[in-house]
Amino acid sequence: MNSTLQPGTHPDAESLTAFAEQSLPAAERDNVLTHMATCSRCREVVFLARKAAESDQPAPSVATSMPKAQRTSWFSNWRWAWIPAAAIAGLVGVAVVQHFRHAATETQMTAKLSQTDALQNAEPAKISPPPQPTPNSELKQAQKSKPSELREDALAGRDKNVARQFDKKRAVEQKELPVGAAEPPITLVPGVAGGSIHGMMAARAKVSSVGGPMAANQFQQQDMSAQQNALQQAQNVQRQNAANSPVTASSTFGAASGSVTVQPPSAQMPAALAPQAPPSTAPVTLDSTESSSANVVRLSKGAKISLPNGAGVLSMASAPNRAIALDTAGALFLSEDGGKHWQPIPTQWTGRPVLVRTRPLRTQPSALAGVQTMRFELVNDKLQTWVSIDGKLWTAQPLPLH
Amino acid sequence: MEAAPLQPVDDSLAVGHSSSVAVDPNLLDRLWLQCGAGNWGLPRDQFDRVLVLAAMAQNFGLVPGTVAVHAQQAAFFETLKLSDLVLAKACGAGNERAWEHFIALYGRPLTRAAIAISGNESVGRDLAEAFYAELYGLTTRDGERKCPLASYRGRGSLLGWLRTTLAQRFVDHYRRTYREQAFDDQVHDATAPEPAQDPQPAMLDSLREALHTALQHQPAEERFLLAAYYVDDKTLAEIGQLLHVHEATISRRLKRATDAIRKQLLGNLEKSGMSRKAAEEALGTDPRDLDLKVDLRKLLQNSQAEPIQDHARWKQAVVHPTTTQSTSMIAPLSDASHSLAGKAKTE
Repeated sequence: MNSTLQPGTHPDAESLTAFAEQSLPAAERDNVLTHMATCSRCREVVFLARKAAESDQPAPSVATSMPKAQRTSWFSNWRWAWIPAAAIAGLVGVAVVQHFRHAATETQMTAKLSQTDALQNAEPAKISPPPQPTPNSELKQAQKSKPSELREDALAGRDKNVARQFDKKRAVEQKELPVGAAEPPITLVPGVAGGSIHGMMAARAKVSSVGGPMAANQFQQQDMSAQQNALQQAQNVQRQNAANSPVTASSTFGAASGSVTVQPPSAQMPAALAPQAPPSTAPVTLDSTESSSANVVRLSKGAKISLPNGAGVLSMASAPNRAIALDTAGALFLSEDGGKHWQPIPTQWTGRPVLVRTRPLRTQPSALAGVQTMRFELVNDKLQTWVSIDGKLWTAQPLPLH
Repeated sequence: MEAAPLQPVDDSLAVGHSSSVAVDPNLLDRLWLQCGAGNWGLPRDQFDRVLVLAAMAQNFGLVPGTVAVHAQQAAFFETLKLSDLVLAKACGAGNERAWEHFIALYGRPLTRAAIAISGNESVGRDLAEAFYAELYGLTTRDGERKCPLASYRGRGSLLGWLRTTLAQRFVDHYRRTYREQAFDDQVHDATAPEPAQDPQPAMLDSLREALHTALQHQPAEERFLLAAYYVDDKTLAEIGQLLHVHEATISRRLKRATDAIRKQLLGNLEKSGMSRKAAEEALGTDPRDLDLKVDLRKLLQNSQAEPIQDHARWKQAVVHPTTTQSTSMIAPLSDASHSLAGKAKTE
């Protein structure tokens, strides 16, 4: 017992220690509690002793005996589990993103390829469609598209809009045609006279027009990935030729990739169209109309057109016994010997020519036996059209009444 | 098993005579070997004496007057910290090797404990050094060397006993020092507060009596909780760690105790002739007025000394009763939930 203060009234140090260490019997513990309930000195002693014990032991025994401490210990064993969990979640996230990107790319490529297939299959009766690796509904719908839609694919950017507006005008013109004089379908058979070839105006506009200028070609694609690679390479090459570089009508359609080929010509190729210059990779569109004439301008893979000024061909149209070509500078040339010689045509139009093509004359078919049935058309950047029968004299065509 | 009263043996018993020991020889041998008493040169007969003195001081942990049987004796001896006990006895007997072991084992922990108790390193080191000297027996009484370790009975750990003894030394020293200083302060500050007017002394007397009765009916542990929480301003965590329970349990017990006291307080006031409404008003009396007239602290404790950690607040509450100290004392008796909420915020 402590004799310093109030001797005989306080529990000794051993009893207080045993009380703090929970080693007192119940009866004696109640006695100590009864005393400490009214003795601030003993309360202070036990609290100070407890404080000293806690300062000496960072992990008090009380904490280890509590269930809460056990839960903490259990959690501490798993507290690093978030690292592999986060890694797995990250991998799953990347896989999902890649999956959606791949799906979006396939959708875009399917849409582009559907347009290309439409060019190839514009006249299913005369062209045997190549095997399509992805026979989906979009491709089938594109095969049934109107020929006028092909024009949109030939142009891109600003020129594409011009072509779209031009097709609207053309639709109005078709309404004015007499009954039975419906416009014949435009075939996509390369090497057949009565067609037109358009260079990439998008090259100047630096806009891709992949898919549109692929007329007169047939895809021999083995799978979808090869098709995608071809289109991407064509885009890259087109960007490289963006500075209005000269192009040739004999641009190797299939040179951009091994998946694009051109059907062999049905007749002998003119010498001027023989492959002489280095093949240009700029895509070229070929619109051909059927003709029964034997003297035709034939274009095929490797064919080359050399204009006098050396500029590249922007657009070309051929009719029986003659062909016209529009270079990238806006000059028009005419050839009457199958492309051997080209003579410049004086400017008879306003604005900048962007397109030449052939159209059938608006006459009754019965009155045109043995007569030239094709006419040339020239369209400038303002959608104004000039027409010519021989390619030399051009007359402005009035805008149709709306 | 029949009772086997343990008779304390005479100190003059010869050493080594196992037949003269009071404890069962087999149990004694087992305990002697178990605690390593032989390492400190403590023979079996002296070990038996130590055990008998410890048992007689506590009556084997039983209610006084109860005779312990052999099993109860063995159980009691098993609960003792015999290793610490024999070391303390060896140190008290002046065994140098035991002292070396004691210093190596408890030297640094005792210094850290003294620093933690005093809250000051220099004071703590001084306290520890003075305690070392006391333990070593430098102090003498009536020409006899006195060692505090001789009073150690092995009921708790030796280190815990050392900490508690250190705390006792510090508290006693602090209280003596404070009493000498606080007297002058109280005299000096006695003129500062204005004597408060008490409009209803009869009601306060009734309230004091009712409160005293209500507190007397509370269990000892709940009264300890009330005193530690509201008088000593100990936190729920501190009380919980001392009683080895969670602080949420302490909070629930406090809430239960204050509710019971309030209920009994109202009943006592009504028994004293006060109406229910008047009793409610009495509980709503300003605690500062109550503190002036009714020293409720005396109802909770009979010690006139104040707690150490709240020295400044306590002195201020006594001298300047318009402070929050008095409010914290009475608040649980008038509005338990409100006081608990405020206490929780302060923590």
